[in-house]
Amino acid sequence: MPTNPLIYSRDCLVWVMGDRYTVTVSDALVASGWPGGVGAMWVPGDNDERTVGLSDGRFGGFLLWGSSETPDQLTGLSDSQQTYRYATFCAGGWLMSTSTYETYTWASRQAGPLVPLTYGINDPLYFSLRGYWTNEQEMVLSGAGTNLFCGFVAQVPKRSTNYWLGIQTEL
Amino acid sequence: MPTVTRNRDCVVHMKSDSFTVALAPSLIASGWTGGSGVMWSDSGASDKFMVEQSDGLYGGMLLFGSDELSDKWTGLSDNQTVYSFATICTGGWVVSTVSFETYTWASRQAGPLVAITYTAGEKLYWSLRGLYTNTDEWSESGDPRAPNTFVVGRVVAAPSVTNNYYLTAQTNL
Repeated sequence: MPTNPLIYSRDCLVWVMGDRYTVTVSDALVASGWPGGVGAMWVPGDNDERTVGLSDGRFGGFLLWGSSETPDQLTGLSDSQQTYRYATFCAGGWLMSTSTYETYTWASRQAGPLVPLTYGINDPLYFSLRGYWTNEQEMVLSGAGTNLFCGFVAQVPKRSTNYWLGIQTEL
Repeated sequence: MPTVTRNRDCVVHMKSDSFTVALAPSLIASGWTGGSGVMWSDSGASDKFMVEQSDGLYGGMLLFGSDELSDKWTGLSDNQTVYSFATICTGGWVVSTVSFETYTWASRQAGPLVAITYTAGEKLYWSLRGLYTNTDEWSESGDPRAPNTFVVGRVVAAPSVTNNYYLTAQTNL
């Protein structure tokens, strides 16, 4: 079991901070919600606000807190990001662990049967077509373009980390 | 002559991010020089973040060497290897270090040794043994991962008599 099971209570756990600031979230992102640690990219906004949407392989950065995480329920943070249309956006070099990563290969997610994705230590990481961390270049696999490198695997998912993926970000 | 005292393996001119990490047994056994590159290592059943010597990938660089002369006869003697920890540096640092390749990869295999010439502004990579170099040793050695696109920094000043033959680098880790 994890060394401290309590600390794996959020989608994204921070060990070393990089740069962070608040951004406006797009209408689509407000509607869909998002998990903590998910990739976000810049999208056109309604006004002079810096606005992000869900990453499609490109980035900006990642969103620190999910829109509706269990630890936020029944507190003053419940739905606050979606209601006020903001999120904490992370860029630069972070060391963090997250549950927001692809667990099955892109090809198997299209038509099945599902094939688990295996992560190795030091694997280069990218954002998947739905903004999850992955070691596959889904933009290349799907013919959508070229993926941008955004981090390394610092800790593979395993029982002692509650199967969270440890990441050193390069954003 | 040098105007900055260079009595350690890695001399810091500009700081960036730093934190402590656990060390892989292989790194403890081999020791390391200050400023050398490390990459992540699987810590097995533990949830520690652990590093080992870089083979071209990173991590970051280790600030203090495991057995530097300046630490002798002080409370820091062998401190890192005994307690299995080190200070890792990431982000953008400006450092002078002795931890760089002085001879080409090819000449180190069979000789005669051919010196590497560094020039300000050049891209830097980790060599196959975790030292700064301006060549892609994955390509030179036929490593299947080639080419190495992981640039870890730029040359700020080439080794010369004015800097005690240290390589000055701006990191991009």
